[in-house]
Amino acid sequence: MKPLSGCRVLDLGIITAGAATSAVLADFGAEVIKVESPSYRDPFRRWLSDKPADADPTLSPFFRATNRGKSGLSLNLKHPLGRAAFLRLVGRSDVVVENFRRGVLPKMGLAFEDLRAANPSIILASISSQGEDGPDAGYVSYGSTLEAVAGLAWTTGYAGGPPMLSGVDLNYPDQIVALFASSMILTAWSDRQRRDGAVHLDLSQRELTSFLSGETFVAAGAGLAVDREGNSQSPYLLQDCFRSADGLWIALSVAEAGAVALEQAGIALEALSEWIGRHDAAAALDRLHGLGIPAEPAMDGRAVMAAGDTVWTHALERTPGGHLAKGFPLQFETEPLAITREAPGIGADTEEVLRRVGEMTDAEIDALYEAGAIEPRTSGPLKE
Amino acid sequence: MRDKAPLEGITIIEWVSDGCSDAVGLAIAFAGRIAADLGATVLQIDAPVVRARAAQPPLVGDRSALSLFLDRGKQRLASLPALEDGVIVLYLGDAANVPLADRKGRESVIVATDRASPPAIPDSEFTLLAIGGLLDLVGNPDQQPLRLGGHQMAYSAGLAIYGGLVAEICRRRAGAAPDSVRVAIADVVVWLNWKSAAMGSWSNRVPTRLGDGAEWRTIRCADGWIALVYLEADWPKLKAIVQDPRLEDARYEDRLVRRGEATTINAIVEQAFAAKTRAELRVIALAHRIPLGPVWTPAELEQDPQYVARGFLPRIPDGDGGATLQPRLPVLWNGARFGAAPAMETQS
Repeated sequence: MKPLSGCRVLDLGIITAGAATSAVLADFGAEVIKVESPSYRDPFRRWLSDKPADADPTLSPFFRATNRGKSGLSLNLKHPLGRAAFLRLVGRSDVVVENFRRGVLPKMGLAFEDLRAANPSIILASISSQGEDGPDAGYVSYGSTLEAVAGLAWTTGYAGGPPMLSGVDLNYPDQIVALFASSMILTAWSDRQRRDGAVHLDLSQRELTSFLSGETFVAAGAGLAVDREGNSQSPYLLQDCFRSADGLWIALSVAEAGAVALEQAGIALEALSEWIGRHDAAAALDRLHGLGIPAEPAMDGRAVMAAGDTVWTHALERTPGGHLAKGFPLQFETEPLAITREAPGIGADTEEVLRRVGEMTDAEIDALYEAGAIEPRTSGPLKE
Repeated sequence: MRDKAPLEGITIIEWVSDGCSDAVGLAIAFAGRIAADLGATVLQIDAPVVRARAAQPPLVGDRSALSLFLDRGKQRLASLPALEDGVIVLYLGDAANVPLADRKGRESVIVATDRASPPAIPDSEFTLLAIGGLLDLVGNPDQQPLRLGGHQMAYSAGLAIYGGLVAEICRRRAGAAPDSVRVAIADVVVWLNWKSAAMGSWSNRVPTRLGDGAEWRTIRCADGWIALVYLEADWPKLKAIVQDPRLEDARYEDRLVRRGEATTINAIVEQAFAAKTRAELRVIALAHRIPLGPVWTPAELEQDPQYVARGFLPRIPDGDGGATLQPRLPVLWNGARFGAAPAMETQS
């Protein structure tokens, strides 16, 4: 049995934060239906590859990677018929995931109360920058904005230098929220037989980013200095990156036992940088490992990809069609997680979902087509 | 406030071996803290890594800030207790201890490791960042790669451990037999860093740290720094805020050109923001709906209007007559926070 067997999720998530949350739910066995409007598709579809083989204009590799395991439904929630169809699906689903700007769902008549009226036990997961309320609820952010306003940037940087960000290629807060939001949805699902009623999960990415620096708030609140320390960190006597003779950065952490081993080997702790600079990376790593010191090269993405056998096992996976996709942050032993379907094309499963889940008739579906509330039967090129 | 927390009736046992790594110990403690906040009974079995963490600077009184944050709401025991039948029990531990927990074949185990196949020399949290590609992304290109502040990878792994734990609770509450879940911190790091790991397969660009030349970076303002963050749709807004004719250069309408000349553009924006405070820039960001991020210190955030309004960062009694500044669990459940767990209880 999968953790979310029997759970149906309507996924309004876009780009990373919302869509990746729903992807985790799909990994755990939920049926995830990705809902996109004919007039506003997930922008991730357009993050195209440079490689001609990946040139499908509606299925960028980033979109494929984040939306595998889901079916695809086209529905314009701003259209009265689209809204009504969505609420009908809500009545036959368990979870709705969204990360629109605050106010977008209520403006469409799809506030939590509207969803609860359609399904008294619905779980709505609202993932937002700052939370549902408060003076900054309308604040617009991308991942690195949150690092700044949540206190993480203050502690990231070279000693004495400016605060630094994870940047556009990582957008760290957008990645971690998928882990937390999915686990809170699992928590609400696990509790469903014991409670009476619907649940609205109000998930602030800014608060999550602060929560992951919890001890710095404890220290700062006690009046202790909290500042940027570069790579050094208690309890290590020395922790940093040093460049080898062949130009690779070697990351190492020297605890007390490591310092003793270095001393016995005739290498002074304060001269370690110079010592590494005189050795090729392979030789330096071999020697440091021989002394029992954790040391590894600071790999770039390409090296990480190539290190799949030794460093990681299931973080990235292949879809059934062979496409590279996000894998899993954890794995079950008896019934392993697996990717069982590709990311959906635009509205790929619209009619099937409306019939099976919404129990809609052909006439009702035709009315949606005629109103333009779902993608035309033959989808054209992406709207800009 | 809810009258029944969702994990009430669940027992979590944090049980790590004497040889448990610091990173695994932190990850397990972080997952346990979340479970405690959600109403689980969390029993932390004493171990060297637990004691070392409690003594690790910085200290607040006689306890570490780490322990005050991570171990809140747990009971510390010297050894495994006898457990009642009929209670759902989950063990969180490292590879050496947790197999022992499954002694009765009726308990779920969540096993955390540094990486799936441990190398001969143990990893540190820092070296896990290195092999996961995260170090390479932060810092200046002419300086050493840089870690993110705090214990981001251990705590991210803690999120994954909590996810595995609650996934297993879903199964158990549905009547399924116990299973084992494995979380390797290295896999979590690469999972977070999936874009740069996969980018080489989709593009000729391999992301790396660009420092001052990055599109997104922090720049100076009157009383500190602000994160300059913007996407394509924000560019006209940024120009409108900055009002510098140099940004009207038609070439800058092309993002690739802006990327290549980020250092020049950032310097122009920095000049414009030099006389503005972070508070003023926050108001501007709100008014223009542009994702600028004032860099607040952890101490300043205690008075942050948003955090105050949402009750996120209060001072919570520590059981000794004092109170510590502590972030609450970052979720509102039907508008209510889960009750702040009490400080740790120690039992023999």
